[in-house]
Amino acid sequence: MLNLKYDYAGCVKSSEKAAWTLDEVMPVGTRLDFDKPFLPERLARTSHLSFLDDQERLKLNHITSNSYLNLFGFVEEYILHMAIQHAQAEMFGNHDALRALTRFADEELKHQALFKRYRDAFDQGFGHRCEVLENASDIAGVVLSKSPIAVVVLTLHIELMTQDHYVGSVQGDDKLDPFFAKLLRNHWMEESQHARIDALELDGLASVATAEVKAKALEDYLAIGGAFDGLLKAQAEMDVRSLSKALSRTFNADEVAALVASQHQSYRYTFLVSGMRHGTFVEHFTSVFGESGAKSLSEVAQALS
Amino acid sequence: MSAQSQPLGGDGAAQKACDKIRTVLGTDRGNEVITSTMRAAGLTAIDTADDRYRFGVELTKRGGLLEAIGRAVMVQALLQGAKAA
Repeated sequence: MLNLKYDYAGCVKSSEKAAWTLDEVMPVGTRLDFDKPFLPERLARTSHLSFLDDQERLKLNHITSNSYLNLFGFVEEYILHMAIQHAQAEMFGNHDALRALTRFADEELKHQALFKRYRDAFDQGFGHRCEVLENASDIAGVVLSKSPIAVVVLTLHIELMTQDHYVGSVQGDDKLDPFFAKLLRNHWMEESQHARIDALELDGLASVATAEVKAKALEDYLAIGGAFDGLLKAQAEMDVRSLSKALSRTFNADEVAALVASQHQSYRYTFLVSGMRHGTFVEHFTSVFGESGAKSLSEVAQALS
Repeated sequence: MSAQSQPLGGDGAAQKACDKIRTVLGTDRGNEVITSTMRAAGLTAIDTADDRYRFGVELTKRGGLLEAIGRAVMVQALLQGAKAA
């Protein structure tokens, strides 16, 4: 149905090739260099904030980068459960699929550990503890209560969006902190394999789904996107409080509104729109939900832009 | 109805569920278990995800390795749209 040119055995092979260890990427005690931006302007979007000077924009970039990785750790909580659930379904079945899915789960756990190590180093070096969303398990429960196809589609969205971030704006940008760029590179290398596994899983589920099941999945996916947007707004508000604390500067009401709107818009683009508009995602989405589903996707992406 | 000729559903999902049992128990013993489990679950065919879920529930009642296979069948059925009763 999805016309995929790869299989589970190939995913395992590629995963073995791309594998890295936590200590290779971020040895214990790594110190972050706060002289350079961590995230590219395309994702952090601070240049238009004229009431901040260069140093203040750099601080905001670092705060955004910290929230960015926390948001990944946040969604990886539910992705981990999903991978284990799908692996359990393959027990005594397709061993290549089982290997691919268990590696997938292990890698997600490793990413969570990497992000935690990063956040500890960030807290030490930045000088202030930044506010971040912390109820990942609650959110994982809500996501996993939705239609299984919607959960896999959301995961495919996230994995492909990660590729877009690295390949589209981090790779080759020498203005960025090299350590943070390396961290994103390693994350992307494994996530690109996960995207293939997601597509294989989606293909398996969609091929036996009725029209009614698919309609519910479409509704659920769009609803999760809407709920996630609310979380992004909450993170944007936290970022502004963190920035105010880090700069020891009080912003007036207009400045607060502008900062929250800017942060919210940058997260919307980063986590929602860039995934919804990824070419491979749109292609698979159209295969599963048809042209009318793709039209709904495009309309939502447009409304969030 | 013999397990080999059961109408296990056109989508291949039921076949996969039964293959899990045959992989672990071998073909003959696997087919016996499939037939007796279907009978106990009140199934004459496994056509839908709900059928596979009921089949999995019945397998889990047998304990041991069959319980583990039953859980795998149940989870797969749930992912494919079965509604847990």
